[in-house]
Amino acid sequence: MPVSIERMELVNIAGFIKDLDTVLVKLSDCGCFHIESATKMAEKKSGFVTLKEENPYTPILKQLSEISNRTGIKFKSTDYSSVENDSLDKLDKYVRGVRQKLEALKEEEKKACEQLSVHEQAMYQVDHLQGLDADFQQIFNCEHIKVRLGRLPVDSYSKLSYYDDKPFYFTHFSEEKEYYWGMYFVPVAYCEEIDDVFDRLYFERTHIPDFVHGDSKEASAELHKMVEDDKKLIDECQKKASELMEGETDKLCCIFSRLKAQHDNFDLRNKAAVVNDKFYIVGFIPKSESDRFLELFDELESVSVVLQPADANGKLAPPIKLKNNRFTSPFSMFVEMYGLPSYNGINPTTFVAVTYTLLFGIMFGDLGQGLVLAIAGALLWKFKKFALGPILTRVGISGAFFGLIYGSVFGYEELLDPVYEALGITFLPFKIMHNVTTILIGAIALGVLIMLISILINIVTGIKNKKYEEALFGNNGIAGLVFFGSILVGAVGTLLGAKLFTPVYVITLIILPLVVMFLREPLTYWVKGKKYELEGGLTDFIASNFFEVFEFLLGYATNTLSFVRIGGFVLSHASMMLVVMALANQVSSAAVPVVVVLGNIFVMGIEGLLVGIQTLRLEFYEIFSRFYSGDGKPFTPVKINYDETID
Amino acid sequence: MLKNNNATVAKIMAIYGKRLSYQDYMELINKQSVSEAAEYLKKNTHYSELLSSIDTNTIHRGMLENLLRRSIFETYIRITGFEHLSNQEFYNYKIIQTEIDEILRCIRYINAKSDKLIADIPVYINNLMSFDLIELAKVSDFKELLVFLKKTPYHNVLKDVSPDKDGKVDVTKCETLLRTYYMKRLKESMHFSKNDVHEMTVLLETDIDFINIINAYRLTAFFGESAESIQQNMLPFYHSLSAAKQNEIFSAPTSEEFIRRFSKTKYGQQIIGNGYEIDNLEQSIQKMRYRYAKRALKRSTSAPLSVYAFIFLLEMEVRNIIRIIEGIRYGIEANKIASLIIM
Repeated sequence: MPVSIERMELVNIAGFIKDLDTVLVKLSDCGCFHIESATKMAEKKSGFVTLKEENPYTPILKQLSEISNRTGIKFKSTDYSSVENDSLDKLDKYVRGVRQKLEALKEEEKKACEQLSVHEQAMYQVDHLQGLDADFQQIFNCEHIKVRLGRLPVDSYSKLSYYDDKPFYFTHFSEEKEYYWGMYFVPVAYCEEIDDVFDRLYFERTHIPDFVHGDSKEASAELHKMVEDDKKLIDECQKKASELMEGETDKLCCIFSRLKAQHDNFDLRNKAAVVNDKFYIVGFIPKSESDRFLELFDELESVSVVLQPADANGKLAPPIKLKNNRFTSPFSMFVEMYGLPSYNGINPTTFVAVTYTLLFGIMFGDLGQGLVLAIAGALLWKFKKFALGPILTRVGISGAFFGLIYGSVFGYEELLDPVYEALGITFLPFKIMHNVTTILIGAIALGVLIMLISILINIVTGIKNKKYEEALFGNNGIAGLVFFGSILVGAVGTLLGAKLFTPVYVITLIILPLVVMFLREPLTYWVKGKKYELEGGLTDFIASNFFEVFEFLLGYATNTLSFVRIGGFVLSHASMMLVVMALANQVSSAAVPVVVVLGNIFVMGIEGLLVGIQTLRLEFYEIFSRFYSGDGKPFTPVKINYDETID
Repeated sequence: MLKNNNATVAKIMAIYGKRLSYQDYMELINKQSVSEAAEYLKKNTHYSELLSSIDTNTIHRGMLENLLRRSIFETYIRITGFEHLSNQEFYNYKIIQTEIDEILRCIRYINAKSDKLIADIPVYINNLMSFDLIELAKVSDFKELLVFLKKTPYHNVLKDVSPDKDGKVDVTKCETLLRTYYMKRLKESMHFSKNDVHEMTVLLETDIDFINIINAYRLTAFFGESAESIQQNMLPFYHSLSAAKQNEIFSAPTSEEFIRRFSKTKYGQQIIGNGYEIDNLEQSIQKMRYRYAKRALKRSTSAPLSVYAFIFLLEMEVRNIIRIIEGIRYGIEANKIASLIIM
């Protein structure tokens, strides 16, 4: 039986089409049914087809979605009993009515916005003509001279000297980065020619609207007033729209909830296989829910529900629902991030929870900082539902525990010494800076232990799932365990003075496992009683296996050394706090608390982040890679999605 | 000892990183108006600062194009001024190139008897030129032009060219003379390390090979010129296309045969190998020019090469944008515009 993975049952539901909608409502209401497409299952059964229907609820929901987008109102799941019995036509008429009223207001607002844009544009232009003290009407009414107002690009302005011999005069009132704002005067007889010249120079003419009167100052004042009026009108339209929505939101929300439920249930019809007047649905439920699930269909006598073992049908892999306890459940986030286990695999959440908490605590060991981290995690979860919060609480407590062992409180390394002395505990605190070698060796030893456990897990699951190559002959199988274990035992023995690397030891416990790993493919065939054939020839076999075994050997070495980082981070944490304390000693006594607090915040932030990431890296690369594939699919029970987005 | 200019190279790479992506080009192509395209450039690309004070609703297409061309110069001034590279003769190549372009433009306007040159001249770099561009725009015939250029080195280059009885000048000949002068001057100004000189020479000569092929193809396809006549209008430098090889290609009687002979050369094979359409020779060669410049920029840490290749790529980018804007303006189909993009 798989460890900590919810047991599933395969559910086959068959009945008459008239009951299909009722069944689908029950399935989405129960919250524990993971639906699969029945068509694939039914292909070989004669005549089964998928229902290809247009969802009748989509058009109205699209209108609601549009209303939501336009007004920013978010619909949510609500009790819709008040509209439960209304016909679809009635609801459609109502929603359409609200939408039309809203559109009319939006149209009015749009027109006001356009008007505003015209007035603002005119205002912008007139504001650039502030140097002009003449009445616009007077200027434009000149009999023999034409006047053009507008702006000339800076580049073109310098080209005006080219036209010195032409009969025009350009003067500017103001400058921008790229333009000169001004006007040119031209005799009526030359107007066309000079307009052409200015056209080539990219002169942008400003057409002063008819509604602008007086000189530039008067015109500007008038336009400012118009802009204000436009803005007021826009505000009024928006106010009316929000008043309209205030009165209709509740009812719209009820309609949305009802239609969305019907819409999503109707979509599930595509998952059913249908023949004549019968339907067939297939899916999974957790075994623990089977009694409750069967009860749902007691009233529907014409509907038959058959439960089978989860793996009864080879075509359908059961979905995965992890079973975790209160301590380990937050860590399932990391497992899901990597990928879920297969149905017959192992749920590594407990292993991750234990190792992650342990490794983080060792690296982040400080009583004060650990407790702060734990409290911060708890608050983040309580107020923000931040998924990392509960993990921070657990690893914070772990950090606090190791802080007790190291005798470290907010970087004060001697603070706990009197306590231990008073208690008569002589072996504590374990001073980090006095035990650097022990810490580094301890880190490797811990890493080796974790690797060995990972290999053992792989062996157990491999044998259970009949994956002999991995379980027996692979680098993470028995051969790998014997090889790696023997090297370790031999090395430790040699360090302690025992000469273990005798020829017999080397040949049987080191070379032989290597040969087994080299020959793992043919050996697997042999165990399974099958004949092995070399696919790419003997040379290819030797070359590829040689390099693979070489890679295994490198892997053992690098993975082992990878755990040195645990020791490294223990030391770096202590060193960083030493720096903080050294800085605190350099400042005046009044500034000491500031330096210590800021230093602690900085170290907690940077170390917390680094240690968190590095531990996760160790989990994924050095541990998971040995026994875990993460190829399971998640258990996703059907339910109504109350999101306004409609495809 | 020659100084390395790694800071300039790094700066160039940083600016190059902001270039328009394929996605940007596609977004631009799908715009419905020049204003929309200008708005996209203003909001989403490295041209935002350039266009910051521009009203995209009213901007004239010609002005937008001038602004984009100006941005090339502004970038060029920025990167050559970064480590005072502009004090070295080589890095003034863009100024010389622009002077030559403006003289050639002036000759074309003289031939067309048009007085509209003033609208197109890049007046924003007038202070860097060895002659006044506004005054150049006032020149109305070739004789006047030679007098105008009297105090510049271009006078000697063009003095033997004489206009025909209608006052028209052989632009191709002028272009060959001026570009040859430019290349010689550029080569003489390369006071860099051996390796930098080598890399720069390879890039320049490869580009000359491409330019020669494009010009020769045009002369064959559109004017039916003889091999001898074509040869006279070629720049007298080459990298892979030796004189003998050029003769063999240039003597092709038809444009189809020209392409067939060219397709057997190293460049022809590269065009085919890269999946470009050899029959669309001009477009494919422009793509190869782009490819060579891009490769030079990415692989080299030489400052002159980086500056030269980067400015070329920037010019190509602006050229692409201008083509898109023109395409939008004249209502050309999106896929047709897309096929004109060089990248």
